Amino acid sequence: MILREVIAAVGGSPSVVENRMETRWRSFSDPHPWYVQSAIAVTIWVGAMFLGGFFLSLVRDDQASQLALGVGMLVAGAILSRSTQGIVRLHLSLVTYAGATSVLFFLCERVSGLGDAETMLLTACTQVVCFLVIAARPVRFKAALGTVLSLWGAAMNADNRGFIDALIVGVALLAALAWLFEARLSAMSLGRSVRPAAFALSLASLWVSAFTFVDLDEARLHFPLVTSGALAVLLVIVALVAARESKASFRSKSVLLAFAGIFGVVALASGSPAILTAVLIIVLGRLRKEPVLEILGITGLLGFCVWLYYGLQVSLLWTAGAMVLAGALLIAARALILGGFLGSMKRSVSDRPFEGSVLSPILARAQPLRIFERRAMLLVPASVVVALVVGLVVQKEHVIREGRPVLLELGPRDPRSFMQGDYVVLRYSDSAAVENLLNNNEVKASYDSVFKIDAQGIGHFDRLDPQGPRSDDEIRIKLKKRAREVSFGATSFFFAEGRGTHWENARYADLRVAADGTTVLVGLRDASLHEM
Amino acid sequence: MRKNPADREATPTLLRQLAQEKLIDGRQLVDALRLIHAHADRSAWRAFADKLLLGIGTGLIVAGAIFFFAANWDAMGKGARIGLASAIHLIAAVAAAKIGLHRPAGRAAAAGAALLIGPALLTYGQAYQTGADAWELFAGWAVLSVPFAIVVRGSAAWAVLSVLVRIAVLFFAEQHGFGADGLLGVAIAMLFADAASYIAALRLMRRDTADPNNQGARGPTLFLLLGVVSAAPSLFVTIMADASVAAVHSGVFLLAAFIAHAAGLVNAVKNGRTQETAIIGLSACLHIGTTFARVMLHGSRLDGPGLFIFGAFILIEATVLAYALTLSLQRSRARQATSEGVTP
Repeated sequence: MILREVIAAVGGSPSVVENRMETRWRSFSDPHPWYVQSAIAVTIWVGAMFLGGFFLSLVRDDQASQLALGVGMLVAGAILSRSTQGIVRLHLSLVTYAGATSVLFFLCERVSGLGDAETMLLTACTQVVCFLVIAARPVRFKAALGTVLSLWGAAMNADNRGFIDALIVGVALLAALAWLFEARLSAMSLGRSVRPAAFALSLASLWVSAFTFVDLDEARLHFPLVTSGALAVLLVIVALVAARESKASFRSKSVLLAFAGIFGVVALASGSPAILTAVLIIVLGRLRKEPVLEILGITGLLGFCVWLYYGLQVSLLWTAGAMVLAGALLIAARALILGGFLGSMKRSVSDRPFEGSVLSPILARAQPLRIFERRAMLLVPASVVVALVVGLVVQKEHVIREGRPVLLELGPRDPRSFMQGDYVVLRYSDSAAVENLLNNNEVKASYDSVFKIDAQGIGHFDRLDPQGPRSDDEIRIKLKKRAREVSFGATSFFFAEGRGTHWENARYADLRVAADGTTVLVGLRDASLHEM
Repeated sequence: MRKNPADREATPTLLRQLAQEKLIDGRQLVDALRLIHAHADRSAWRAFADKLLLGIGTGLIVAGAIFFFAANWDAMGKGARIGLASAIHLIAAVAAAKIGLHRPAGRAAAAGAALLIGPALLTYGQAYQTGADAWELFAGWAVLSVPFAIVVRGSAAWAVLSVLVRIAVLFFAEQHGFGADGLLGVAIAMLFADAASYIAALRLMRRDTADPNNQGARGPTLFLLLGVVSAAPSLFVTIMADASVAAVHSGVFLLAAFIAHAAGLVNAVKNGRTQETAIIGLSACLHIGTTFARVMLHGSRLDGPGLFIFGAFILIEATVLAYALTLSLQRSRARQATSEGVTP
């Protein structure tokens, strides 16, 4: 919508706005996109920190000069930051921030008998001063964040006594209020500081509540249920405001479902305030259409859920069941809200996958394919995956059926793989002998190993030989090299979750060896050579 | 000819600025923000429910499938497990083809199909005890996901592919016991792989990237961003590595990085791609700063004057970056104005 129309629609005077914008066109010029601002801010921030560090290092040993320099930088920066614009303002403000740090160092060194909690409170006060006097938004963000983190540090060092609980609820409440009344507060005299403070409070809220997961006595909640209850009430209030602002009927199925979802989250996360905080940040982010806030909340929520999951130590099968059920419920809820599983129809060029690409002329010539094109394009790679898996299975089955059996002695260990489940690491007893040969450069690494098979079918390493076996009781096995370790087959054996103790007695790997020396592990055997 | 300032698009930032200048009051600001849909209305909540519930729902179902197969349930035979994993993957792909990629549900099913390649490969690995080399699993998964990323062309598909590639490389480096020296080699390979995949992505998706509203428009940029983020640990290694061990590799790596960044930056500025200019520019600052820090740290020159020189140097970098961004923005706006028929 055009600015003139908007101003007129809300009862303002477009001509006054136009005049002011004409006279101060520079300050009303189009702001840079967020990524441009961020790119400039990050580099300037680092530069200012180092320059501030340089000034401080000049007067490191003289406390009076340190105080004078700190106060001087703070005052000069505060005045100049208000009379300048853009990058210059940002830079001056950051140098001023370094001045404040200098004052803080001076105070900490001069005031004797200052405990950790008092130092943290002093730091919080310095941050508040920076927030009030320095007029650059990044500094105000940093100062607001620093204030909360310093208060959190003070609470941890003051025997806690429920301060952490109060801080989590207090910061969440302030963040919620800042976002709910953001527009009205923005029109006030300190309006420029509202959004940086709101972002900082949201981030601090997630940060502080994240530490409730850590096994740290100082950060432990004294009243977890009360804290969760307070956050739940806050979440419900924000949801009610959201429903009111979007003019939704409180009896509509979408609103009822949203509240059911909120109560579900509250019930499941009653002992984990961090999860409620993350959900609150997501809802606030959507309410004010702030994607950064939404991403922050979603990242926090995912992280907290993973953290919680590892603390619970639930079996993989139960987790899988719970996840699939929860996923199905969410998709069903979506279908209920949108009135169908498929959701909104949004056309895009993705409908014709190769349009505009190097393949489009070929596809244009193949007109009969066009109707089928979209489906075919997706089904081809899917079919390739299935065909590949089938091919690999057939090849392994062939080796298992036709390969020569051999048992190799081992000494197992038992970790768990990321994604693949529980397994024992297989370390072949004869590997050390081969590694010695290779490390001493006695043979080439490209040689195959030759094993002699005894009457029980157990293979014993004999030599590394480019020509392979020379008699019937010998067998060639290709070496598998991994960093400095050598093995003769699979280096692990996967088993069902929770069956680790059963496989502890494994002493031999049961292999099938193909004619080219490759192996397939078909099972493990105990010390009596019985299949396990 | 400059346009009348009041004829500009009303943005939330502009309205807030007017409120701070006392040209409108708080109540009017609330109404104005509501008028331009800067606050969530019913359609915004609907879109939110659509994307979030679908995204998390699909993610949970796929994660549940991965956890189920990771449990290696011995009540099911190996044939049944491989068959089931392959069937789920195929069903997701068929569902995506049936629903169509123009619908969110179709795109979610297609992304699900790409993700479900993992369980199909891992059940095969479990059943035939192919070993726990996680990098092989992720590398195979990444390669087989490429056609899905190209066909689906959504940002999510590109992000999945990019993450899979990086996990595979990291596991490879970890399992082969690479030290700081070897990691630098991996970093060089990653840098060139990133540059090549970025160019390929831009070529394949040139129509998408021209349309910012398109689902896949941010795909290549996302790929680039992940590349820059993943370069950070290798840069840290570059600084901390023993000078005598890593001198040659870090020199080659940083030289390659300079060339790649300079070419990327010139291309991005020339074509008025501001987002890319910002990402590549930041990455260039990171690389140059790393080189400087490495020289200063190993020469033990990070004292007072050293700090000043480093700070001043970074500010010069920031100025150059700001200039590149301004130039890029000007070109981007000029191009936009030309397409709208307005003289900037």
